[in-house]
Amino acid sequence: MTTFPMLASALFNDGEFALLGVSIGAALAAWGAANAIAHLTGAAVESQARQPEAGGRIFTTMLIAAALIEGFTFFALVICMQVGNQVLEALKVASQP
Amino acid sequence: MIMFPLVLAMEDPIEHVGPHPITTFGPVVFTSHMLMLLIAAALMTILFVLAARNYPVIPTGLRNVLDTLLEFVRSSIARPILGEHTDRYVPFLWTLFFFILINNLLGFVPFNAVFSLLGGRMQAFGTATTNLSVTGGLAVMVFVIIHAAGILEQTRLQLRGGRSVLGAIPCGVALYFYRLVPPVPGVIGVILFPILLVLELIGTVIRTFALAMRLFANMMAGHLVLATVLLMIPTGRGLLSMGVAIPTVAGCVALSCIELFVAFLQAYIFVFLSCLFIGAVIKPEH
Repeated sequence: MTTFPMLASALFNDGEFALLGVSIGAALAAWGAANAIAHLTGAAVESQARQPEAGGRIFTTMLIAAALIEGFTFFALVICMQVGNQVLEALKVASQP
Repeated sequence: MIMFPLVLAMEDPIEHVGPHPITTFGPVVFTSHMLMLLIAAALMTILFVLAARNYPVIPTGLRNVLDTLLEFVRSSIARPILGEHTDRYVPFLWTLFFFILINNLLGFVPFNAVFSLLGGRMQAFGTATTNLSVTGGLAVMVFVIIHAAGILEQTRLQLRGGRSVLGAIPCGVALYFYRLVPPVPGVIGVILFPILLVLELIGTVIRTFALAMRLFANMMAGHLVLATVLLMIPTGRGLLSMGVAIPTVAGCVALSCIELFVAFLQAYIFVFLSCLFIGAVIKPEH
């Protein structure tokens, strides 16, 4: 029963696992965006195949939606980068003295 | 074997996209991104003033390119959304589109690398839109114009309805904030009105902040990826970097093609969403 706090403090005190969390967060954001844009592109190509005359407008709509999805993906990525920078600085400060 | 000095290399890729101070005017530091903003503004002024002189009936050459882009913004973005108010807001949308586009495209011209190879290490140029302050400034401008457009539209409607100028302005302001909120019937509507008003205003702030963030993150991510991929070359020295240079540079050329497309697309998206927000407040929705 006393080994669990020791194990937890050994794993989480220094902050390396914060870096792991940040990296997993960035990867999840990228996966979510790729999933969404792939789904969107599949629907757009299918509807272009059904009605080729509407191809230009469907392409424009697809581009706008893809840019909006990427917009909030980049929120998550920028947050991950900021947290990662802060953790790195905290690790540098902690390892000096 | 001639060993070139590591003139173009950098320690970390964030140094490639951040602003670098050039000179200081007292407490104010003049950075490379400010220089790029000035260059873009000068370029736009010279280009459009020279192109608009003695305009022929059928434009050719550079005039044709600019005319095509201007007409694209007006007829594909502004007119379907704004309708009869197009001519009032289209100069702002034109300026926004070309300013963002020229700033994005100036980031791909290798001023820094060429001048570094000619003499010393120079970092006085960069991409202005990789700075959140630059895109944030553009987004603040859009925010001000959204609310100003709504208030002026309501004031105009009041003036047309027959009020005096002194009475129309407060009525216009009050009606604008009244019409922002979707109507809820009954007593609950009166209670919920302040909450919904605050939510609408915060929604405007968040949407314009998303505009800034989208443009900033897209441009910065593109340049960061390019810098990180190029960082593979000096990482291994000697024979390894000889072998890795050619596919790295080829990959960077392909990435630059994608980034060129992203530059145009992000300018289009910024202007399209600004137009959508402006159209949402000047249309009589209720």
